Amino acid sequence: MQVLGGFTTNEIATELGLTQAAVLTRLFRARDQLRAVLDPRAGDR
Amino acid sequence: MMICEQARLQIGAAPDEDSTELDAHLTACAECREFRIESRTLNERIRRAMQLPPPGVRLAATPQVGIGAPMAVRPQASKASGTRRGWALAASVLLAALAVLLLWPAQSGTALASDLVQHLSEGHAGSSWDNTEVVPEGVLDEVLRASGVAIQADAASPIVYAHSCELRGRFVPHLVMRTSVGPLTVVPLVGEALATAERFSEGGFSGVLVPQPGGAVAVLARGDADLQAVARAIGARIQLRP
Repeated sequence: MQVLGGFTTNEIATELGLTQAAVLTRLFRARDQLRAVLDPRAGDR
Repeated sequence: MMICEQARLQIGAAPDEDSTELDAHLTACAECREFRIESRTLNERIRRAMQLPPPGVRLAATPQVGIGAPMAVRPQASKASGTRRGWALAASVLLAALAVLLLWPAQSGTALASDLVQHLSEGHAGSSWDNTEVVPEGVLDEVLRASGVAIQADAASPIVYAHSCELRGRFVPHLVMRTSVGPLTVVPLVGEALATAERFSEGGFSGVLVPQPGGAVAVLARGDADLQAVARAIGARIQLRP
């Protein structure tokens, strides 16, 4: 939704019935996992 | 004043979104500025990766829909376009749900037939066809009771094999009956919903799936056989109790 649809975190929260904090946390974790996969050295930063 | 932890969460979750508080923090924090640059680079890589077609999929030169389609990124979203997107998203979800509902009965029958054929092709099931001794009543009762199935006895088509087998996450009775058209495997399937009766021929077996109150009954034979009449007769003797 964010990358392809261009939704803001606030809009995603509204669409999915979540709090904005929950959306921020999930997106952060998802990117963090992707970052770790794509560049394992980045995990130390 | 925003602290680094909050700034990292905000940047890591939405690298392209700005806020007054975040801007104020970034002005004073070089490390978080660096983190935002890295995060935006990663975001761009994700965006580009999602524009690529999945491996092994050949798309038209300029795909217009689907994962491989050129992506419409919204630089400045207005409230109205946000609402339109919301409706578009809801419409897509509704259409997908409708498609699943419409296609599910056909898909479930086909998949069910394949699962049955696979089950008959493996392990102990192979020798079950050639049994001749009638299964003792106590053994048959136990197998049927375990799955919520009852069968009206018929001396003309005795049950010569009865085993409780795992199929699609449930224990089902796997029965073999000796009938006038030869040995038939009969599998009462409590809770399997079918819209109509379906014939199939697969993996050296032919069969019929008959919808029943409370589920379905599968009747299979080795080789090609017309089983519809006999399957209906067998189905009429079986009660399924979900």
